[in-house]
Amino acid sequence: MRILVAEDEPILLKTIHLRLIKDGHEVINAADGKQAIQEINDKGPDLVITDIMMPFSSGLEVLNCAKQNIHKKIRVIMLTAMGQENMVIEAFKLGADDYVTKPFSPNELAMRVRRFELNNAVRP
Amino acid sequence: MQVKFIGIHLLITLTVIFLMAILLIILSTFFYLLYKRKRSKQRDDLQRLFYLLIGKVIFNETVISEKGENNKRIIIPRKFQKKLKKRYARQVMKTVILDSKNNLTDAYGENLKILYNQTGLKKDALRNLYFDSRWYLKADAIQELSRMQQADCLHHIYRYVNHKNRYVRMEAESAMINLWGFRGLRFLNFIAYPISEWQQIKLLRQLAHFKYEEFKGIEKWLRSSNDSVVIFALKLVRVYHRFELYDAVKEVLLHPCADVRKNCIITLRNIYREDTALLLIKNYDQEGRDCKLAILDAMSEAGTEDVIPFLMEEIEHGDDEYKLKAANAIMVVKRGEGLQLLKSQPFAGSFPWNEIIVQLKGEEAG
Repeated sequence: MRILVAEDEPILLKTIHLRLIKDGHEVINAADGKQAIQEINDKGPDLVITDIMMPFSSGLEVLNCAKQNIHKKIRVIMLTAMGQENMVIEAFKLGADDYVTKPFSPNELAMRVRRFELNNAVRP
Repeated sequence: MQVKFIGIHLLITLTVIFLMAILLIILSTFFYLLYKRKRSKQRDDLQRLFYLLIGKVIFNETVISEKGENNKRIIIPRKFQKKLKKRYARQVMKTVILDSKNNLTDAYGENLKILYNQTGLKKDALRNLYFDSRWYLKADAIQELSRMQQADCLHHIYRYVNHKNRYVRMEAESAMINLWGFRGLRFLNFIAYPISEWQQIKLLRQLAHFKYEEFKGIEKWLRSSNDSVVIFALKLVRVYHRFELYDAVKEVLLHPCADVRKNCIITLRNIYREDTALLLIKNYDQEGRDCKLAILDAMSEAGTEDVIPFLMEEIEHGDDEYKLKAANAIMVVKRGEGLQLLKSQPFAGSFPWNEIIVQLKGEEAG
């Protein structure tokens, strides 16, 4: 699976990146929202994992961009912090597929990615 | 009028002094910015370096187990050890570890805890906690230990819930909950200072992140000599629906503090029984405005047919707020007949009843 990870915390970005590579995914990194939007348009990932609060463009803008992609159906997992429940609701309204609340286990995130992968495999 | 001119020598001296002052300001600004830039570059370099170490630690690359899984040690390369001897580098390291710990759980977070211990940052925090007289360093140390999940430091933090500085107290209370969940509430047993309304909200919000487990001590807290502890205990009863504590809560209705009684009324409204409404109106006449309004509010939940005569008296009160709350309670207790009952009153057509009835009608339809 080609996965775009958008996260402004370098350690977390690297952790998610390495964890997903371990499962055999192709991972693209983006350190802010603007870069994430650029990568979505350029590389068309299958799945986007994005933080909600990011510099330049928010995670909701990234989500919006992913969902408006006309070439393929891009799934989106939102990374949220505690107390951002309203943002999560907003994200679901915009079409987010799942969310994970920080602090989280990268293993759990990898399992959620695996679930999307299996769903995609089942679908024609 | 005679005009005095400044002599040429004095003018030159003043100009030179002025120019030198400007030069001094420009130079000091320049050196200050140079220093800031150097510091910023130094911080960025250190951050990059520590990100490397943390990346390895998170993925177990430098973690070795000694005598079983629970006894892990991190191999910190010499170049990092050397850097970490400097105070500034330790500060940067602390920020990097704390930020990473905020995002990660499981073994990833556990490895960060080991690194925090092994780099001596935990010792630094404890040193600040005990030996530094500045309150903000103590508060910061408590917050840091709490964020790093240093549960073994609870006995160090415990005593600070009664510190003279309120920010230190607040951090200690939050840390107790963060590290110990519902069991952390035991600080309520001996806290001498009041817990602010904001802090109570914060603590309840923190508790919401823990899986509920039966906690003991509420009866004792309801009898506390600290009014804020009683109020917080009442909030715990209503948030966690502790119906079995009804009798203990009932006793608080006779508390000397009006704010406590008001909270007691709100709690009884949440855990009401059949006799709650009559119990609440028993002392109604002796209560102040806030408690009276809270009782009228409670009637919308706990009210029964027995309290209709009381509510009918209150709708004739001189204060419109009493009228509205009593009318609301009548609407709930009498269900479909409430509006008819209010309309049949002789005052129904006059102000403000004409408007109250329109509003109630709208609410009923909605």
